[in-house]
Amino acid sequence: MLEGGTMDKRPKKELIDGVRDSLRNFEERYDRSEWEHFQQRRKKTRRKPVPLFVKLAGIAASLFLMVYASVRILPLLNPVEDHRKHVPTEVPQQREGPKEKEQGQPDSLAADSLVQPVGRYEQSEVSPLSVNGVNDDAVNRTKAKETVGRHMATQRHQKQRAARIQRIELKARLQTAGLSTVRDQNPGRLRQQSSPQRRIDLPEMDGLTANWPVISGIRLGANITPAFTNKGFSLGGGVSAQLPLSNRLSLEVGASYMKVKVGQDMEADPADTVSLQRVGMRNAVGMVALPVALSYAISESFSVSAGLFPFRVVHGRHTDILLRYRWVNDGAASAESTGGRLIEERTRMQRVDSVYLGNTYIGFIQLSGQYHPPILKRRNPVLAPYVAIPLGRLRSDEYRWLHGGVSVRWYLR
Amino acid sequence: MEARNFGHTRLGHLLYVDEKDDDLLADIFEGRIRLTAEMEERLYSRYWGKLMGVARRYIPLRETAREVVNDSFVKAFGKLATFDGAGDDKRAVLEAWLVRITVNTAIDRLRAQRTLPDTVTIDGLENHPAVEMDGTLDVEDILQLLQGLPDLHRIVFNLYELEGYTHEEIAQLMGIPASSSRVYLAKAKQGLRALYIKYVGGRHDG
Repeated sequence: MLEGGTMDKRPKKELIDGVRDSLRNFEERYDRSEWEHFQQRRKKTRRKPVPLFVKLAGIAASLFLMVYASVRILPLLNPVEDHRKHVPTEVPQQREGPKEKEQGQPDSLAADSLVQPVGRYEQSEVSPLSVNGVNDDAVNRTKAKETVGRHMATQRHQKQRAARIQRIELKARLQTAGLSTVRDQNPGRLRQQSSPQRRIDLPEMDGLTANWPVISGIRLGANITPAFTNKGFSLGGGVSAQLPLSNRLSLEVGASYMKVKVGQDMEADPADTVSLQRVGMRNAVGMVALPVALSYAISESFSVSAGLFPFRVVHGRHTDILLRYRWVNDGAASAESTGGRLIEERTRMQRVDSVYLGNTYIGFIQLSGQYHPPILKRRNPVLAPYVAIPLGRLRSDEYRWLHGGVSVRWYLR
Repeated sequence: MEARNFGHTRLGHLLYVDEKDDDLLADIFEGRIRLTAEMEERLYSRYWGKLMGVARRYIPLRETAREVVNDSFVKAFGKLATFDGAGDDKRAVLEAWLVRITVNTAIDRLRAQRTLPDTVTIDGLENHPAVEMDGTLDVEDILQLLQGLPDLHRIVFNLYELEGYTHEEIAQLMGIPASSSRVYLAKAKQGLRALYIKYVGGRHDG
């Protein structure tokens, strides 16, 4: 390095060689203030991290939009709604039948308008021996109506249609609500559903309708989760969405923030009355997690779940517990005594810790039971005792990450 | 500082820049050691002077050159864990890598500036086949000579004569034909000689 940026005296050489030799090993003198300039520069150019609450709000908003969309938009695709819409339009038409007839409108028009719904209904009741199927039957029905009388047929169809709509509604309720609830409310009707007539209606619920109850059954919830480790208690919370996969099985996904305290204790040496001894370490680790769990309903009020709790550490604080033994002369001691006693002074020293900070972990396996207490039923409270078993690197860590607690959850729906 | 094992990452080591730091650099390159603030400062203080010397060959303004060096360190610290530092002499490998980052950052800065500093028109200057250099010329004088060249000539001269790039590599880096690189180099040398005669003559006259 050239001190002060001055070249040494040297024999004359060709200019280009001299320039090359001079600059090749040229270094500027370093000043410590440069490091501060660098840090300022880096701070200015570094992209600001998105705050945690913004991330959580984003996740919550996404979940909310997902649920809102499933509730608001998807019913438009539901054929059950179509049946409901047809009823009020068709019934008045049939009531106006005689008037139309008086005005000279041909009967065939009114009959044609009835062919489609009647045929669909009769498709389920028609004998397998019928070759022509729906259309033949509809034509026969039209002829019968012409001979027997329009009003009689209309009344009969109205009754049949009303009964059919009732069945469809009941079936939709059965798939969206619990079976037991409907059974309590409609004991007689439920028995009807087990009759062969109910089985005839089933194919009409295929297609989009079959998936609808699964999507509409999403429940959005919030939870408060205490975590007890062998080194203390801490609290967490978050939001989640529960997606029913079948009558008993459901998937729960969420986003949560949790703090876990881990640490270890060491034996102090009572003989050492000079130095400050470290007798314990604590790490308070704040984590943002995206838990995923599968729940299985054992009964109406109790279910079990198993899930994964992957997380990223966003906050870390290390605390050293320090102890110093001190020998204190006892002023009140008698002349025979040795005249002193050993006292211990404990202090705590905290610092921001980067051992876990910024790391992402597979996290824990969470095993949980979920109890739905018969209180505040409209709020759907759930008590979920759980145990979290560490996985991967946490399992082999020097701290014991096993923890548990009772999570309290509320569901909006 | 407390050293702990956590997974495969060793933490809490200081970087000692001496003959024994090759292993440590190898650990950093392979991601076994996470770069701490202390290590960064040591690396910074160790290589700042070298990189500043490199940056000043390309950038006429000292303050801008300092920004280029700092930007280069930001890039380097961000990518050090993923740097494939293959080679026996880890320090040399690291230095070469840092110099390359600085050169690229300086060229990018010159491209981004677009407003080129005033340069002496060298086309009309007399051609001097060989000029002997005065032994009393210091580095600042030489840098001033270099800064008198047009940007492209200066860059090509630096890349070829000081960084050891070939004309093909320069052509690829600068997006010019290799033949143009040769021409620019020749013109840069010619310009330096002309500027030197003008500069030394002016100084002696004054």
